[in-house]
Amino acid sequence: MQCKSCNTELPKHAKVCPKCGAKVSDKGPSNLRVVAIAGAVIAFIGGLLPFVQKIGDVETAYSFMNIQMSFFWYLYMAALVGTILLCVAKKEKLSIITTVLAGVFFAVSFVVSPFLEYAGKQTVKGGGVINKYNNVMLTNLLGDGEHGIGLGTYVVIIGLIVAIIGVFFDLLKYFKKELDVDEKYMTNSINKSVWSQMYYYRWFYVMFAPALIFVLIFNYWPMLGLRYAFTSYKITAPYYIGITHFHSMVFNDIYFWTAFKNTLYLSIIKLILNTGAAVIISLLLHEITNITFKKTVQTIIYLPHFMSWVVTASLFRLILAPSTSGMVNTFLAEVLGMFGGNPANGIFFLGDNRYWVGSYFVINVWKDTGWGTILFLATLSGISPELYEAADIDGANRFNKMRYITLPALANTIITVFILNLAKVMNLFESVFVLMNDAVYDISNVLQTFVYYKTFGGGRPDYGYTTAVGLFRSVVSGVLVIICNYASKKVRGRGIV
Amino acid sequence: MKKTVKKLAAVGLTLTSVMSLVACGNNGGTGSGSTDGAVAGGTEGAKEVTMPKSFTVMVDNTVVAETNGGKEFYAYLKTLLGDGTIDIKWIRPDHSGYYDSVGNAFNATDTMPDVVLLSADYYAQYAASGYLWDMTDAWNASETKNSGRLISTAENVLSALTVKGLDGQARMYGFSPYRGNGCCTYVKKTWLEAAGMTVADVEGKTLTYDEFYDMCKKMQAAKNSVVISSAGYIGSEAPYTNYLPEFYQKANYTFYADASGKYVDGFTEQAMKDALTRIQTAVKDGVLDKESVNNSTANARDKFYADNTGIFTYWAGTWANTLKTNLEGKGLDGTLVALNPIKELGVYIERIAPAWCITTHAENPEGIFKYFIDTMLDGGDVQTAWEYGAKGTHWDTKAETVTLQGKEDKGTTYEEGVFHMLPSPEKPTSLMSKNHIDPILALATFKNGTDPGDAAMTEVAKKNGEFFAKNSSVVKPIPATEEYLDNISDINKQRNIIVAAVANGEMSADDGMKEYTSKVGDKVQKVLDSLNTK
Repeated sequence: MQCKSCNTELPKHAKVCPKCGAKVSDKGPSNLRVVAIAGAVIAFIGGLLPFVQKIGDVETAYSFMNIQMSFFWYLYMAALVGTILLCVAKKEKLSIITTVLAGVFFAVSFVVSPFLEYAGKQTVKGGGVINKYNNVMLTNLLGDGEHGIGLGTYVVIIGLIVAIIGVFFDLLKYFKKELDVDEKYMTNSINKSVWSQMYYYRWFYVMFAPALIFVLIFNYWPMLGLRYAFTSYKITAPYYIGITHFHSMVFNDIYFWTAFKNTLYLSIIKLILNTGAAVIISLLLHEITNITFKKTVQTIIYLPHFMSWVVTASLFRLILAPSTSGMVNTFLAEVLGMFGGNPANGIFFLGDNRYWVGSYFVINVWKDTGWGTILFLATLSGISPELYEAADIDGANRFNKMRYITLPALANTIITVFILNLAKVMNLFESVFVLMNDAVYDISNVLQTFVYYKTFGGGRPDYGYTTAVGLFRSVVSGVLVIICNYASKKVRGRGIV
Repeated sequence: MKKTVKKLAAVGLTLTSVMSLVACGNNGGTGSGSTDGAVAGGTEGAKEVTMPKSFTVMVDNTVVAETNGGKEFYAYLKTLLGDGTIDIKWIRPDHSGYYDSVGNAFNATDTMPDVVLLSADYYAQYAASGYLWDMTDAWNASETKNSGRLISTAENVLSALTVKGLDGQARMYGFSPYRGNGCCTYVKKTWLEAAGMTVADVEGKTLTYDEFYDMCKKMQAAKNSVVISSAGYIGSEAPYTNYLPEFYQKANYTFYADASGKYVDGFTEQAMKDALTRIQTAVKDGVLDKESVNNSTANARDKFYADNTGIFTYWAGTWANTLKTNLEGKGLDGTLVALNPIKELGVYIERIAPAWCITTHAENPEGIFKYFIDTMLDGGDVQTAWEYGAKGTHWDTKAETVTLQGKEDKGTTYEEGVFHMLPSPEKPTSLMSKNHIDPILALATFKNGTDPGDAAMTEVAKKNGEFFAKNSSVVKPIPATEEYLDNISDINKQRNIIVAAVANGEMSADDGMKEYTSKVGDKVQKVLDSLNTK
């Protein structure tokens, strides 16, 4: 065990450090109160959801997002942030105070602050358009018979209860492996507090600071816009409408579920095909003994990766055109005598529901397979030649060597690549966008193109709705990442995040 | 412990301030219900109009691009406006992503421009949403309106710009200095001859659809190729049907007011079913290119230039000459015949021109109108600049010999005082043709009755412009209700899917309509109810 102050190795049962005199804590390492933190996060999300809702009108809703005395919201969030920080700093019991405070701010806001009811828009000189509001008290609304308790109230209450209970219920301990090692042999990272470790490594943190600031500004700051998922945001002047967008998305939108289904289908099949093709090409390249030829082939198959999707789409539109300029149809018509010998009667690969999906996959394989082989070839080059020599002595032929040496050596990389890419399946846009058209819209529309057309496809852009779709997409991506992380831990012994 | 508490407090306060920013941006949504802002719209009585010192203008590449001498145009225009000190900040987004940029700019008041150019669809939306300044009174009192130089159809064109604002009142929120123009159908002389016909068989004559289609079939047989390729089976802005007018005829793609004044959905009417069936047949017969669904306007033009197609419906006026020139540039016969609208069509449709709008963000809208918008058709130097660009960059009147890149031995010499166009700064192999206002489409004549660039305009363009003006009518705008704005993108998307499916022969027009009704029937009804009750 080491002194938290000066890192001097301490004698067993020492009460103070013999070098610096710092008091030695006898508290052993503990896990974070994950349940408490999760409760605080749930309560935080609850603050965005409707506390009171008009019955039968999902758009008329009241939460912290349209409270007039907005400092209640700030205090509520500050209290929840305090809960999380105290849990992280292993002062879990103190976090009960902040959690209860959050509950108090929530309850007081019901009776003290008016909430803003949207009452239309008006133009103002020099400021565009602003919203008009009526002030209403939630306690009055609840008594009029037209309003009821909204989802947000339940979520907040559940979140706060979980945050308090979580302090006493350490979920991680069930997963924690007892190291069963005397503390004096433990490493610094285990037996030191977070703050001591940070101080000890302070210059590393200083070096890390620019990257952290960059990530905060460019990755996390824009995430504040997620609140618009709960607003009606058409051009400007957003106002709170609760969970209307999520309700519309799930129950009313004719394209949303199709887009969701298409996204998963196109992405996952594409992933399987691209990975499979990359493995096959890698295995074949690995068998080539002429280095010059191998390098040439590698360079040729890498090149399509560097073409933009716009150029790729134009190229394939030409190659697959149902006309004399279309290479494929011309070949089928003039060489194989199909379509009455007229390419114009040929297959409209990119404009026919029966052929679009297949064409899309082929184009993707053509473009990305070469690039995908890099990792596999690197792995293959690391296989010990002795294994092959031994196999030769045992009389193995090429196929058997591939089956019993190469493929098993490659398996871990294949799974790693697959898992890493699985987490990105919801990010499908460019390749689909440049190849889709109205004739194949139903089978090609994916979530990102759906958002694009909803925003810029005519009509009035509804940023609130598209933000809600984006949030949904992010949540699904997040779940996929967690699943992949779990799978990665199982397969590789370590996670991807 | 104390240290820990201090550190926690510091980090906590930092995080709290960050979290509070989550709410800061919510001011638009949760701000005070104050209604004391001065309501914009309408000029107020005899208020004195002052010259604006500076303002921002957002415009697409219909004004000469900065790569094509745009900055020289800005500088030249500055010398002509007011006392020469008006500082205009030009915002020039990428042309293809212009409306994405406009949408983003209107997201916050600090990025909102003072003046913006909007197409008809966006114009109605932004007016109905309350972002545009009501310029009705300013226009009525304007020098342009009272100049007596407006062309006879000007009132008709400008009446289409009267739309409903946030308060439901129909007012004028934008001004267009030129007619919207439209598309007419061009037929190649060589393809006519290949089909055993002559120019005299079609020029100046009003064909029926059967005669038109028979001509197409003959061409298709003679050339063993598709005859027509368009940019989509349906357009992306009103009047939508303008790229295939002979097939759509009088079918309405979207909502319109019928003879009784009641709004109906034109897409579900028999006329549209018949139109879709005609398109389906034409695709099946190999007359209409099935790749049209995948075509951009550039693709469709390129096929026409490459002689893969013989009939092309495209913009009238200046484009008539451009098509001819490009065909000749490819070594083909550039003789084109502009077909009269076929009998079933009656007239070609002219689109509503993009409108110059002043936003509610502008501090001095009256001044901007007077010194910027009202001067566009001043009948003098400013109008010349908007029509032809900057003097010395895009056109000139000095004595000189103008040569095009690659044709240095074939220069044209002009005497002092003779108006002539200069080579395009961006593409010096060809002459500049126009700036923002197409001279053929300008809504007002010059003070001396003669356009200074008249001699520089080609006969082909002038003749075709006159032909189109005689054979067209302006499309009627649709009032933009909340329900319309919220649902039209889904409705139009479904319409386009049905059009493509029927055209490609995947379903009949009747089945298409059934699917359309089952998918967006509720939305359509909601829009119709709003249109008929407002």
